[in-house]
Amino acid sequence: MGSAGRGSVAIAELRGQLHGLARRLHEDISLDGSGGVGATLLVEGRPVFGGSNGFTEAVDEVQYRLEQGPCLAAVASGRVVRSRTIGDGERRWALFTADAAPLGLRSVASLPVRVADRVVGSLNLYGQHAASLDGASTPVLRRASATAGRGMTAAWLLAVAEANARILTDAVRDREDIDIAVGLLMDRYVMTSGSARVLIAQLAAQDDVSKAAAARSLTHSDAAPPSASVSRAAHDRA
Amino acid sequence: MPEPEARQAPGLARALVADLHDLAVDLAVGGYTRTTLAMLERDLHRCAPSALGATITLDRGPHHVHVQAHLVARVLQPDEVCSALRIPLPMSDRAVDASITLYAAAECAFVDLAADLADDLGVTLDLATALPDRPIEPGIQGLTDFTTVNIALGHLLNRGRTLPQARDELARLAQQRNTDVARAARLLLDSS
Repeated sequence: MGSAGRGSVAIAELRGQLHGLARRLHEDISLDGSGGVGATLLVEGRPVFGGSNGFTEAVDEVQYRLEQGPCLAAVASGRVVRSRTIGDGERRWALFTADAAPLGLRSVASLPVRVADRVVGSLNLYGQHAASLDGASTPVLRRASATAGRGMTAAWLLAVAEANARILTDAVRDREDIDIAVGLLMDRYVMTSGSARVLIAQLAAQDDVSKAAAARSLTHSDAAPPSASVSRAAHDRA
Repeated sequence: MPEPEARQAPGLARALVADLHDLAVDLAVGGYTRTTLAMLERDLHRCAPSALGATITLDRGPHHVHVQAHLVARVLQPDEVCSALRIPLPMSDRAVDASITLYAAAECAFVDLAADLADDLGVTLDLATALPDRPIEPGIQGLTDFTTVNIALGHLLNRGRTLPQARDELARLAQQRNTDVARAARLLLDSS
């Protein structure tokens, strides 16, 4: 797995958790049906976001693709950023506005999410009418932001735990396949477990596959009988 | 904000990484695990400053040996642990029942985290998680038994059984001898 793939399992888990968190916040804040809530957590400086609905996701996609918009402004300034004139005179974030307005976005409210005085992400409310977010007062948003901060921290912990469990599960399965093949070879060729492991490593190198894949080729019920070269190598080792 | 420090050797992870090496895990995966363990260690402390570590448990049913990865920097004695919280982890492989149990030195250390997980993320928690009644040692527990059972299964496969038949046979032997599958596997290997 390359460095780009590292953490991708945890990120995928996190995205799912952020979706759930955004949906709950959407209910708590009581937005009208046309709007939505997005929760963004910065991981290694990169945004990972989940939205309460497709509209929110689409807007956030635009924002993070262009690296411009109210959420990024809120994170950078540490302040609440609002607009009710997207596509109707809003002059900040010209690129973002040009792409987000056709999606139906008219109003936004973004605020930084802090954990222990540190900005860790943002909470974003998006509306399809100028007045959609007028009922979401700054105190209401700040309370939601505090909830989001705790929720995001918990979400990340959970995502990382899930990633660890998944990696361990894969490792245990590989170990299991190798061990079973070791047992099969020990019984078939009356060899030690050490010799059986070396033989599996040789097969893996010969076929340019992982040791687990080589082991599976020996133990699968539909696997062909061991080739003459395997038998020869086994007898040499036994 | 979590900022993983992949190159920094995580205290909690050291023993586990050594065990993963023993697991013959592909090195890249081992590196990934080191990274994710570093994340886990830091974020656990962020959620509960008195956190002592965690255990990831993989349970694949009664015919399988449970494998537990103890992510602790040193041996934890039962009387050091005053809080524990078990969190079920949803896995795409439904055959695996995975969970993580967090440990902390302070009482009620996970009350806030439990509330956040339950209220914000809808996670169903084991709120009556039992405190450990025996020392928790760093590393992976159950590997020796796991390997013994697997090698015995390999012997049975070579004698014409399918894998499910081999598992059933070991389970029957364990039942007959009133013992667990690991001891039954040892008996089978000793008689081979």
